[in-house]
Amino acid sequence: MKHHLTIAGARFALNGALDLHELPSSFAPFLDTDAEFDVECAVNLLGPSDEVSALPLVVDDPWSFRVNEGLIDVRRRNQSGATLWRIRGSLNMDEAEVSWHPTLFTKHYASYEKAWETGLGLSILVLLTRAEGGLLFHGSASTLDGMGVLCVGVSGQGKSTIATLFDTGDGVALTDEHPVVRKSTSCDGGAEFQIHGSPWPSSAGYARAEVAPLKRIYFLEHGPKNVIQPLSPSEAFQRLIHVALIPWQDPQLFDPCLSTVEALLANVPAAVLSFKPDEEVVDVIRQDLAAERIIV
Amino acid sequence: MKYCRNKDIAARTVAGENLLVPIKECTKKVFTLNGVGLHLWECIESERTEEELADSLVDRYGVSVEVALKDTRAFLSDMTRLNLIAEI
Repeated sequence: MKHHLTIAGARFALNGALDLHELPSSFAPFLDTDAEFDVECAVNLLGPSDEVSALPLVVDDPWSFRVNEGLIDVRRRNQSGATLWRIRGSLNMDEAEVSWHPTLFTKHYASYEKAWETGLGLSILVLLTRAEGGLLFHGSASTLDGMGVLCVGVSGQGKSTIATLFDTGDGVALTDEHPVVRKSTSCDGGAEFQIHGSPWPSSAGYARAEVAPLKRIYFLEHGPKNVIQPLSPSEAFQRLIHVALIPWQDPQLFDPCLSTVEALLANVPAAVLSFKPDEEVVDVIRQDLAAERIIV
Repeated sequence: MKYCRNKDIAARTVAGENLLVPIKECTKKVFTLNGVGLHLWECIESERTEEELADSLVDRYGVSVEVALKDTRAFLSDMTRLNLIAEI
């Protein structure tokens, strides 16, 4: 039986042997559902490949995203520079092939399903959605009163903490590691953004296949009290590019992402959220969401 | 001595910010330029000396030669350290 994953409106038709029992439980809400999708990738599993083992060693380049001869070529390498796995796909990623090193892959991941748990699935999602207004981030996504909030920051800034504060309060945490933002066109022709959960949680374990209209972007900082400081789009841009999963190595890959970042910051207010880890921050955010925020 | 851009650097303007993206084996950082930096980056599309770059600042911004040279040297120092431009 062929299975599919639907994440943030992107469907992956998984062609090839996949042991559902080996996938982490966080994938269950996204597996074999009837969720709507607007882009689709047929992921063909080629498996162990001598061609992959023959690829040149490249040290200090663990992730390679390039376009070669009209095809997207992604390589994940180990510390010695050997390629662990490779994805090759069309420029619009409607089809992708996954192959891996005959011996090193299973030493590193144990199984194909385990690789989906880490960067392999994320890579395909980034590439599939980038030309369709999609962006992935290091952050958490939550909803409050039906409105979506994206909280971003590097490790230790409080992504999981704030997701938990939402979820144990009046809100719902969608993810505490890799939220997905998708752009759509509103009735009046303007840009609208939705925030989605994903199956790759962090320490708090949130992975919900839900979506909400994105209303705020918060850059997280620890602080003695809860303070929101609005940012201009250019100020937000400087921070956002460092927490967005953008394939920087090829303009064909990153230019659509930059267009989406620009539209995002022109339409969704951003701010620094300095917070202390208690439930009061949720009320502060609620008040901020209720206030009309004009982007200048 | 002349200076030029390193190859494989993509320049973009996004949300009012001037971005330089090193497209190389392992892209770990992207950089932003202020207005003066962007002007000098555009000048250095072809090989330029420090003096030529400073003169361009005098022409563009009406600053003194002394200020222009100071800003140019700071730019060249930072950009060569970051491997975004090269000495020829």
